[in-house]
Amino acid sequence: MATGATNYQCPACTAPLHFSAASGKLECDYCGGIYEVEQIEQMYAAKDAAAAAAQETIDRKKAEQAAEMQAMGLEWSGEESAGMKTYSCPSCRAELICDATTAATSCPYCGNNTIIPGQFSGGLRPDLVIPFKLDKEAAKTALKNFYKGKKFLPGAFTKQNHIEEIKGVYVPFWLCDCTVEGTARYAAERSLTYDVGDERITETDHFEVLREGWLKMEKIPADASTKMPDEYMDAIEPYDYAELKEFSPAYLPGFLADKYDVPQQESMTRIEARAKTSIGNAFYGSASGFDSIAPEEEDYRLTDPVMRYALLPVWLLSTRWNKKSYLFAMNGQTGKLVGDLPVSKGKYWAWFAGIAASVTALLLLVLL
Amino acid sequence: MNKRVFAFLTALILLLALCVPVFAAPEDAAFNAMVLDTAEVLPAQQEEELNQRAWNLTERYGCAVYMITVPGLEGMEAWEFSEYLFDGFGLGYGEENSCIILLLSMEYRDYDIMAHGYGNTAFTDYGKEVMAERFLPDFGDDDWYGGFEEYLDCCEEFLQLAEEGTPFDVDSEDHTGGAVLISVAVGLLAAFITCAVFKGQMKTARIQQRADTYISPEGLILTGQAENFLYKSRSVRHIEQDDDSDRGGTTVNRHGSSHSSGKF
Repeated sequence: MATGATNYQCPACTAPLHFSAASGKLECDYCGGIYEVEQIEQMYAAKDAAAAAAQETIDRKKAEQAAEMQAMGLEWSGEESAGMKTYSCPSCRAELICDATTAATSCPYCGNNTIIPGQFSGGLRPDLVIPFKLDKEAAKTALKNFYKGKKFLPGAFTKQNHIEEIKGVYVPFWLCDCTVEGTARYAAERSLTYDVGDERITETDHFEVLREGWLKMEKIPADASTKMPDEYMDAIEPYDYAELKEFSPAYLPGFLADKYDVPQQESMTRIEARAKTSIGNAFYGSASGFDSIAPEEEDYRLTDPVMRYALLPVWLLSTRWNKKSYLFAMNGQTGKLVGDLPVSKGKYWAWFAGIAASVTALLLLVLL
Repeated sequence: MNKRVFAFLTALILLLALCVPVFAAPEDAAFNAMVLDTAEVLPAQQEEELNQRAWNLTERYGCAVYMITVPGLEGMEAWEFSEYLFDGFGLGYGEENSCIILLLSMEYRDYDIMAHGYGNTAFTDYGKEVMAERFLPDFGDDDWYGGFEEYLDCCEEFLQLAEEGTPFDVDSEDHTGGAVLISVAVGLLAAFITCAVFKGQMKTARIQQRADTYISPEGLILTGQAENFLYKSRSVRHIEQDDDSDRGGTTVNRHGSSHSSGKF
């Protein structure tokens, strides 16, 4: 029976395959078989298409049933069920209840990695993907290293907090190629100071500096998932785009994946703001040889934007300490890890007092 | 000009001859009238009181303490005029001609404090500066007696300190309070900045404001650029001269005297 979900099975033993960040290939934990992404992709192309088509039928039927049940007062309200979808695990047939945006997950019953090809069909198919390069252990090590050297980290935090959850997620991003162009006008000054007798004379030349031009930008990223905090996704940039590949669902087994739920236009607002700041800085930097320069009028606009849909690898780690959750995100390609840590008030004030007392004592020794 | 100065000095000598103090002529002081009020700003009674007190200090510390008022400087600088008087009258006490002279010229309200001999030891550059700060408000208000009283108070204080072996100088005043305040303020500021940096390391998830990483290799293409000169402006500021008195001690000129001059 066709279901909306599929999983990639080992051609040799039919056990589930997963994508290995270390080898960049699909591996079978049972028989040890290793397969190229393209090889599995070709084998399962037909199966993925069938799963996607089946999901459309299932979605339609479920919508009809839900409407009937709701009319009878037996079904969750539209608000309650909004954002949820159900699939059958292709391995054990258990019902998988997922977010509407889930594109890859694992079955909580049999543990098999499950792909939902319907989330990538037609216009929803990502153009590009950067495969995971770092594995779960690398993420754990990076988190431990992240704690090091943090002067205000409570001592108990590293000892008592444990990683509650660690998951590798292919996060949807919009990558924007565009040109930002415009004009800027600055007020600039160049001064010459010299002494005559007991007078210091400063002569200042005042200029109007004009700049007009453009800046080509390549693949400015903006995360396209409402689940992902923008500040975390921004902070783990940049990715090495040299490793971008054509999208294939075969990179997903073993990881979670979401389809985008932030429309292009919404992401464009953030991309535009960043691009405009960059051209402003570039214009400013091009006006050299002045002692001071201040912008008076700036007019920038974005032209020829081309958006591409990509999945980029992120390790999400969550820990809990003192009844509070702490989230960390690591770039699954470069290993850059970010997150907010708790501040020990005791350590803060101890350092403050120590520094203040040391500097004061040193100065008193010099001055008195 | 020298003729005019000579005439002025002659007039002064005649004036001094008229105001011979009531006390006996001292053996060591070349000149026993300690107050020379040729500008006539002091009543006779006050002049006598000041003269008596100045003489007492002169005898007590072996350093002549003079107060001189003149209508004008005859084209000279205040310090030049003090030296003319010093040389012309053979002012000073003992072999070194030790003295301190406060000269007031009424024409352009100039003053000069001149020290010589042991006076250079007792009245440092900084001491003369502090002394002026103390008497200038009174002279500024035309309170001549009050100003001279203040001057004599300073002379007594500084001569006493010099006798004790610690002439009044830059390190004589207690700057501990200021130093402590500055040290504490800098310490707190350093602690605040350092802790802010450490605290910043605890929060690393931040929205990116720029997209410089994604600029294509060809970079910024300028299709138009101009730098138009608009106008030139000019500002003049008086340069504060380095204040030697900050380093302490007394700056003595080639005549062996030291001065501190200004307006009152």
